[in-house]
Amino acid sequence: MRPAGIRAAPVLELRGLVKRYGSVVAAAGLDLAVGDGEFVALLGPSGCGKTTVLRCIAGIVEPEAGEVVLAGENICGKPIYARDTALVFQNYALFPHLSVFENVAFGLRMRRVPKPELRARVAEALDLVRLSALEKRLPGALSGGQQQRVALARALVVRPALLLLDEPLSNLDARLREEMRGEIRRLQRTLGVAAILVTHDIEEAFSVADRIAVMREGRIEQMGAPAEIYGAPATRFVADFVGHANIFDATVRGAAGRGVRLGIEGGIEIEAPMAPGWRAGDRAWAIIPPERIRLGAAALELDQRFEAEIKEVTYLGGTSRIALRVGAVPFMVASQNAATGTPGAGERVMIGWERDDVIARSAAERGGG
Amino acid sequence: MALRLFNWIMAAVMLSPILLIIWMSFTPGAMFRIPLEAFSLRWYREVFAYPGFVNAFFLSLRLAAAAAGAAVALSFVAAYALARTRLRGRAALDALFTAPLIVPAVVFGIAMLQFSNRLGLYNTFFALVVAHVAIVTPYAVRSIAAALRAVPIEMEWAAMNLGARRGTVLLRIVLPLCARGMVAAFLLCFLMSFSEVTVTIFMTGPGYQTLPVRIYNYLTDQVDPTVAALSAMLIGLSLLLALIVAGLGGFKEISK
Amino acid sequence: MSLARLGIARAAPARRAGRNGAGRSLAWLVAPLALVMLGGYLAPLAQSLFGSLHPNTPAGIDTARWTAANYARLADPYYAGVFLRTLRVSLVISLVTAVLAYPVALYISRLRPRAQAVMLLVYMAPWLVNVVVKAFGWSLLLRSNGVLNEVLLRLGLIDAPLHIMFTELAIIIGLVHGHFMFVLLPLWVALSGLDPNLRWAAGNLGARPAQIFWRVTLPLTLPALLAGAIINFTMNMAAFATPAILGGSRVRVVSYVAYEVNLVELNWPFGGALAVALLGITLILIALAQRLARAGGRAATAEAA
Repeated sequence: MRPAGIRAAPVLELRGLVKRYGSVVAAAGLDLAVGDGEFVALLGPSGCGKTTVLRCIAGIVEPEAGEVVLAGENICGKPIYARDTALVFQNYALFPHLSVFENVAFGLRMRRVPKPELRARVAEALDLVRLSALEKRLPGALSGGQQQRVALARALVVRPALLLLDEPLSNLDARLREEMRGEIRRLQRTLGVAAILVTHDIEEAFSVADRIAVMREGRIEQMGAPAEIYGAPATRFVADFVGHANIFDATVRGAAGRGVRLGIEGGIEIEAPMAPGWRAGDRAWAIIPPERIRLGAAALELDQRFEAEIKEVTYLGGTSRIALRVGAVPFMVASQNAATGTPGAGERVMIGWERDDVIARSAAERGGG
Repeated sequence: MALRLFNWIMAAVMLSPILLIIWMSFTPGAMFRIPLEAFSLRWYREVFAYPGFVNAFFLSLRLAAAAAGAAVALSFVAAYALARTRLRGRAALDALFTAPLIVPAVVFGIAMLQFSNRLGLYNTFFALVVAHVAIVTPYAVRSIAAALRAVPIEMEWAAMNLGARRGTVLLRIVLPLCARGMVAAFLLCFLMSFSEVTVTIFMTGPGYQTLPVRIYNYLTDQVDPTVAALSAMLIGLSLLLALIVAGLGGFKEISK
Repeated sequence: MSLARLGIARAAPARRAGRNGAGRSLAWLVAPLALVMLGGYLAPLAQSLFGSLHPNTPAGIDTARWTAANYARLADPYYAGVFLRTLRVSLVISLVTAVLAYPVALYISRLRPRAQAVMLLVYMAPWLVNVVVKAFGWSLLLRSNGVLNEVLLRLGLIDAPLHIMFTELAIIIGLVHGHFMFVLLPLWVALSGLDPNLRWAAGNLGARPAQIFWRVTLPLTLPALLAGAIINFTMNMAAFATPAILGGSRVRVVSYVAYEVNLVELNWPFGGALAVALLGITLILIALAQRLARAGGRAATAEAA
């Protein structure tokens, strides 16, 4: 288990990074720290500036303001070739005229590593990504997954202080992508190298990273461990982006025991855990995670219960996704498919959840920005 | 159907003077007659026996190699800079580099005659090389720029990210990746320089002439089938170079 | 967001911005070629422009005085006549080429891609062959005892040899052949870029093939035809070796006279004026062609939309 914060001096620290392209803000005073051996994912929709941040670190793009501190040294203004980072590109950018061996050896040759050591290190790197048998091939003769592994070996062989991954899996098909996620995680752990992964794929970020920074319009909206990002999204944007369903606008109605009563737009009233400083009349939003909602008899023992009408059932194999309505409020429920079968559209059922499963935030809190 | 017939007639007309020269170059007699029964290589031997042609050939060869080499080297770095930077005077530079396609060769020939005389460079190899570099530069810049567009910038970033400086990136990544385009550009420039007549005729006096200029002067003077044999060899050389350039994909950009 | 930060950002880093990625540090790489082109191309042209503004005296060029006399001399009936002949011959060549190239382009554009490439190479072949060699080939064909006359006499179609060499007709034949590609290629590009749906749509609306051609295909490709013809015209105006070999001193064109003035009379100021006049005509026509091509592009996209 890795600490959520940074203990010793971080490997990389970004301070107040600013970069604009015309009127588009790619980095708006962005701060970020990556600890020794830590794996951080920059997660965000396309155009949020995450790739620009990566390029500022690598030196492809110079920030307009702010500092990029790598291993204690501000490397702003340092040329790209003098920075101790290794970047894996979205399209791999393998040199098509060089063999796999020469591709991996390129960085070592630039560093004038003596021949015997070079051979040993390339062999070791290729072994690590299980491509030793293909070292004489040209990149064009490799599959997508193999090219990806060459790109990884080429970056790792120079033993960079920081590994940068720019959407490295987006060109692979779904099965390969899952396999490569595990591979990247294993390599990063084995070598203990600090890494930053840029991605728009939530699953990818969740499965690989120690911490995730959700980016929006050049700023970090929320930073934390995957469970924290998903379980306690700080803003509605984050909640939306990490894939939550059943997000509702609400108004605080008043206290209810240790909780609070929220009026959901559309007419129903639910209870949620109390947050400090809430007063009646405050605007808020709430999430009721679909996987926490129980159906039918299972709902009867729960403290929040509503009668709902099933609108649509989508069969997904192990589970079904059920669209319902409580009054005018639409709900989405993920239900395990049991042998007894699931109810069909048009039926009325009871749904329910625990008050503490509801995630509720003030709409004013760190909202629009 | 009519279109098809017309096309074949036009194609025949297009090729007829070229094919006629080749055919006639095998005549055994001293007159221009289409040989029907007897064929001879006599006039091909005559070409090599005439020092005026042989010397002119080697001058043309040196000139075309020097001009094409210089134009390709200069155009490579220039096209790279234009491709990778946002220069303010870009349009002006483009116009400067492609002007020889627009300005008539006679005009440049006259200008070069007067200019090289004033500088005391008339009838020198150096002046010829400079003029020919200018003449072939549009072709070099265009085809090399096209080849460079095929080199993704990520490739260069990747190399630099691994520790390569700009010069190393150019030599070890960019150059190998557009090698085909560079070879095509060189051959095209070579062909253009080797065939150039109009500018060169203004710049050279008797005794120091490129092969096409020598043929031109020979034609206005005496005419015997030696010219046909020489012309046939030049046609062969041109078509050979053109086929190589076409094979390397070098005409795609030029025809745009 | 912190506006103060953005404000600071604006002040400080102007010098380091873009140093590695798309920086200006590479810009000097255009310098060698730019210098060669400035010194070896633009400077000579500028020099003969200025030279043409000085009087030519028996003692040499009088660079102390400025004059427009060299340009006034272009109006002299002899030189004006040469210009008029060159314009006339060039125009005829362009018209003939346009009429001949259109059906060829139409035919080629409807072939399969591979066959298109081969046919284009056939029509490109004359461009690749040395201009002197081409003219020599035509002189073999056209001379009084040449192949054409021999064939026609043998077939009994004529009684006496035709005199084509050293006439305007010889120049026209030689240059239609030599500059054919410069009309054919833009036409071919325009015709292959036409949306076949347009023709099908017209056919579907009841137009017969001839109507489709006159009402759809030709109007849409007319700008390309005009642009190609104008480029062709400027090349005809400036051609040197072909008219010199096929027309010679009996049919003098501008470039031939320019050669004589510069290399025989050695009157460089006037020779420069001839060159500048030729350049001026060329530049005006090329500007016109570019306008037409652009208008054509607009028309084509408007038509497609």
